[in-house]
Amino acid sequence: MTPLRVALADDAVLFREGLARILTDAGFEMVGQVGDGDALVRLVAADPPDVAVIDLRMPPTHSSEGLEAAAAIRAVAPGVGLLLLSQYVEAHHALRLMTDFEHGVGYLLKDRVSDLGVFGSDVRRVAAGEVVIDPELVRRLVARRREDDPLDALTERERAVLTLMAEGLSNTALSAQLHLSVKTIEAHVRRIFDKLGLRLDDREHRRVLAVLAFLRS
Amino acid sequence: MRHPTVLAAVTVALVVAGMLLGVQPDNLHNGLLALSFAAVGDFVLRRRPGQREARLFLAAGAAEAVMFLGRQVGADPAAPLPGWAAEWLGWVGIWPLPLVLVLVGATVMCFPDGRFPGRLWRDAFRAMTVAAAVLAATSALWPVDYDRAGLVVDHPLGVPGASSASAFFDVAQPVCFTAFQLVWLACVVTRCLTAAPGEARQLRWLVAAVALSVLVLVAGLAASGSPRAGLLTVPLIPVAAGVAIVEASYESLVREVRSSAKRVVTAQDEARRRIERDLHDGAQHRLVVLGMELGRLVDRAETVGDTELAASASAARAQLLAATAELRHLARGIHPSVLTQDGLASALGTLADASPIPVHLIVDDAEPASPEVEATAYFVVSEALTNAARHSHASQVSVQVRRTRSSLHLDVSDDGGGGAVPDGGLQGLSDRVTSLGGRFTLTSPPGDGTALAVELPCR
Repeated sequence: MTPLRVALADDAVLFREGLARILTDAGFEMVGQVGDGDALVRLVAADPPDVAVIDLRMPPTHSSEGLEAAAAIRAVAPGVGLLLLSQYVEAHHALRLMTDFEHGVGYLLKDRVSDLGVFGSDVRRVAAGEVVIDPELVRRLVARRREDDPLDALTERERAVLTLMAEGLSNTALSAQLHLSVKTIEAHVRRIFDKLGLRLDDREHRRVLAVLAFLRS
Repeated sequence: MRHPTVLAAVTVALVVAGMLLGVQPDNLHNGLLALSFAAVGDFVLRRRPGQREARLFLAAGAAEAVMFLGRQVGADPAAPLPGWAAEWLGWVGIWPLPLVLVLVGATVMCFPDGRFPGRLWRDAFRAMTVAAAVLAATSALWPVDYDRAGLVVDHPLGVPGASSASAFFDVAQPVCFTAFQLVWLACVVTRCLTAAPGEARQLRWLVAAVALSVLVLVAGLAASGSPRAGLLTVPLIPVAAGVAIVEASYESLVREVRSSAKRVVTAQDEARRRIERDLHDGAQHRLVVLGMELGRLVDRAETVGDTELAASASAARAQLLAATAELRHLARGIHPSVLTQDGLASALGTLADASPIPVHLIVDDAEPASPEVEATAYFVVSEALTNAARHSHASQVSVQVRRTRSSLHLDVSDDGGGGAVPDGGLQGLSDRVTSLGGRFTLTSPPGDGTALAVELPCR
């Protein structure tokens, strides 16, 4: 199996080099590492990798250059998975990512790189066109108190399904993680959408967006 | 004692000495004018030492006082003084009139800052001074103005040629005095037309006093044919001028205090932004890198089958991640980078996301406000939500943000127990709002919820 190819953009050199090293250790092939969005777009356009790992906050303004670079990459190389890393994970960034990009996107707290097993699999999921949303962000959103909370109507199992679904897991991945058949998972998902009054869309990306938007509202 | 105070005291003493001789209706306005010039000049100089216009006032007051006393003596047949002394004092009350008039005119031309509005006007003042000096010299040498002033003493100098001097003076004086008045009027009108807003406000006081005085003068002339009533209102003019000067200096003080308070807030925000940025680029990244290294260590230990090492490295990593999370929380409290990254609406959204009480958030901020206004809005909402969560027992908080052309309005209200008082956090934010020229209103009757309304000007 050919190793997955990864491009890396972060202005913090120490972090960038450390990350490149552990990704190489974990069997990824680094196609290049750069310090800002423009350089990343040039790098990716010249030699598209499977995944670009992008810091959200980069020079020149340290605001959301990462999102702009991601959009530029999607325009020149639509097949490249986009994994955004940030010191803070925010619901509105996640929603924007899910709205702006149809598939193959991820949004994770930088801390996640310390668990290489999980992080490596996240990179692979994004490369495969799946969605990855930071579990801490989802946990926060699920824990939000609402008036007449519709989540109260969910069973514990359904809550677990909802949470993992919001993290971007597919039915197959859900079935593996929860040790349930895909059919059972599908039934859970339908019931959750019914209880929350949401319309079920077959596309998994749409499903994540619907759940996140619901949790945020 | 300061010189200005001494001069004002001498002025008052001269006027009081004159008053002791009794009231002479045609001279009264000179005494009142001397008192009001001296009082206003001294008052303003106490508040603003060195104010040039106030110095002019003091000079005009002293000159008026000398003339007043001289005329009091010269017009009083029963003055308790030897004849020669009464003659000389009366003389002193008469001849300086044209010069004193030019000096009083200068206070009008130089209002409010004590400077002529331009070279042209300074030259006009010099020309008037020369003309006034000629008139004054004529009046000093010959008794050309004694009848009009009602003096009963003789002129102390017996210089020949009095009739030709009178013929000259009777024509020259009205011509010059009319010309003087036209120059002053033109000068004040020019200043009004070109004045900055603050100065225009001060000029309004002066113009109002002059208008009132002219009105009374005309009414008095129409009713009784005498300028007496009108002349008696002239002392109001320096009073109005003094009020305008003091008010303006108070206003400029308030402006200075306000802008320096605002600068403090801006500098504080800038420092906070820098600290957050340093934390983000420095410590936070190092900790993440350290976490990465610990992660590698866990992997290695697992690979070689050292479960004990793997477990302790894993525990260390968990501790480290907890520390990172705390640092992240701390950095966010210092300055919310999300505010600079994504704007106020998103930043308030993150606060609502983190609130343990359900938040109903409506943000209508079509136009971004200045960084210090947005940061203030963020900190106010953050503190209000924290307080609501801690003390209110509310089931719902509503946060509304409205942006009008001139300001940003924040309304945070809950349905909790009320009784909130501005404690440390809210008090600090109230001060911050005031520093930015805004309004901060907390309404929290016991048992009836808490409502916080903040208005922040955006100009």
